[in-house]
Amino acid sequence: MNQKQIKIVKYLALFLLAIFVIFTLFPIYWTFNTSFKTMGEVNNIPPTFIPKNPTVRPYVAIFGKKMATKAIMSSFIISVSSTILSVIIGSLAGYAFARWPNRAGGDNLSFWILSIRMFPPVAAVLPIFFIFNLFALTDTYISLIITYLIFNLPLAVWLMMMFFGDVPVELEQASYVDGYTPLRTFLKVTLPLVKPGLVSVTILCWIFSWNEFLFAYVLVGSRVKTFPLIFPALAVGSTNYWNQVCALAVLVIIPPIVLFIILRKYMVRGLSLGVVKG
Amino acid sequence: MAVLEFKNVTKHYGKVEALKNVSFETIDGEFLVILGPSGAGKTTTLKITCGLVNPTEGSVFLDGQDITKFPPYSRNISMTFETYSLYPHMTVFDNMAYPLRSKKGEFTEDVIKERVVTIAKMLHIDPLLDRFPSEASGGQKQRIALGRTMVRKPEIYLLDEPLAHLDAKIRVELREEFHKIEELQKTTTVYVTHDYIEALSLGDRIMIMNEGKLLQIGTPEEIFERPVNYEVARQVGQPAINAVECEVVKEGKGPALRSVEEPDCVFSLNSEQQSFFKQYDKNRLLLGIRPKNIGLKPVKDADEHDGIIDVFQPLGSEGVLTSNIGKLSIVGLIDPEAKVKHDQKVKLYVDTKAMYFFDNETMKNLML
Repeated sequence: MNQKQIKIVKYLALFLLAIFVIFTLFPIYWTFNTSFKTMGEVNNIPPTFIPKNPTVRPYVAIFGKKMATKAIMSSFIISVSSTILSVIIGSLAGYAFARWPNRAGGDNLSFWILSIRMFPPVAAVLPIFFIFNLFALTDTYISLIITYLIFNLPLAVWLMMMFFGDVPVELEQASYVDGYTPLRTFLKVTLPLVKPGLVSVTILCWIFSWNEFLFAYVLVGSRVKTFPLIFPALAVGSTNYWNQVCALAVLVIIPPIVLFIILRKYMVRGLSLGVVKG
Repeated sequence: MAVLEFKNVTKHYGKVEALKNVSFETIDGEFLVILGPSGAGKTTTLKITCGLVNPTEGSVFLDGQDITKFPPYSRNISMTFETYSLYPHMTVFDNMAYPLRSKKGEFTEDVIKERVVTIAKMLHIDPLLDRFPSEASGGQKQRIALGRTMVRKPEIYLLDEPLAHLDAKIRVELREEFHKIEELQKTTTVYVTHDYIEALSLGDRIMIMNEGKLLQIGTPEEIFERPVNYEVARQVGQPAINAVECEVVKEGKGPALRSVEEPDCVFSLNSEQQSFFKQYDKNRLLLGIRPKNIGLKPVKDADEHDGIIDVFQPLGSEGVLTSNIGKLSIVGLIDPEAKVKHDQKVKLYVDTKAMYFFDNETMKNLML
């Protein structure tokens, strides 16, 4: 390839990337844009790319709706509880699978856990509803916490198993010889070394629980509502309050973005590189 | 005061027998070097000592107390690992302070700091204390690992191939330092290596292992001069000892040894050896001659052979001479500045005093 051809390929790549960026960022921009419009401007044709009379009314309206704020709180409680449980159980199980695969049940058990993630959730949603109904748990926080835990655990267990597998056993052995019990070794040596794994698992589990719609729609809805259930309520009916829908959307994407920005630096791997040998 | 004792210790890893009925006892305060090729069971011996591995059979005693079932964290034994095993998320200081913090409240932070800094200065790593292990060189990592082992005062130090992954210059430097470090010299230390020079240099006593078996334990002189069998003689010394399969000929002026491979080559014996072979009832044996006892200059009681030079390697302080006596290839050590060349005919002199005789089946030293 000569210089000219290299340049053409380069510009072509940049062009494709630009299309990709527009394709992915435009909906976010449009949501943001719409959330500051009045209802009158929302329905303007042609649409305006910058609100003519920017207003925070839609946000005020969302905060004024008890249903909406309560749903966001419920989403927090459910997603955070489910994430904490997933990370704790996932780490312990992942550690067992990484260190004592045979005593922990072998490849078959760990693969079975992973397989939970493989079938479509929609196939399980009705049976799960009937089971929770049997125990009078529908329309409670606990039903969604347990359900999200079930669907988060495979990911948590497998990711943590791989991260723990990368920690040399010799570091733990050195710690035992240095006078530490297995539990303190786990807390002082092993766990700090899998911090990037813990962070990744936390983010992935939390985002799944935060955004989930299907199970929430089936299992809860009257006493307990999560925010994804509010969208249909705003958008279905005689008037579609698109500006309020977008305002709510902007509000609920802020926490994941903030979380990701805070934790991003911990996601960098490589802390454990160069541990052993020179 | 610490005496370590192994009583009939056997260890199986699945079907593999890593240790076979090993028994030994250290002397209080000695520097014991375990020497053997890989797979000899050296590291397994250390891991059983510190409790990381449980023996399949047998017991381990420390000062007469049976510690076989004690977990590693309740034995006061410290160990440096072959791979250093530094904690990557802690600074060098925290790595070294780690063993001192194992029991909450045992030492105040001031005491810990003082002890760590003292040891760091001794090992010349005090400028590194605030850094992370990943920022240290190989030799420095090894010093940090040693420092972590030495901050507390254990009953026994275990050092697993501490110099194996360092380059030659640093290896020699650190080996010298081991001689100077008082802690290691005063406290019972078990040191594992596959390098016989390290073993001869450092060991008060040397324990030779191979294939999970303890072959011999003794002072460097004992190991070198009176190896119990051919394997021990082969492990100690570079180039390795020459082995010539011989048959005993009892004709003429008393017994002599004739090479099986090259019947024209007959090794004569001195009077003491002759009287031994008059009693010897077998026909075959393995004759061992160390390269340093084969040369081009006549010595007292030397046995003279006609040889042809094959390869000469001048290595600075010594010259390795490979020559052929008929079909027999023999390695000798001579002056590195000797003017010899390929295919040159020479007289080879073998010091008869320094010959070893091994049973050709059991490989045991016949003269012990």
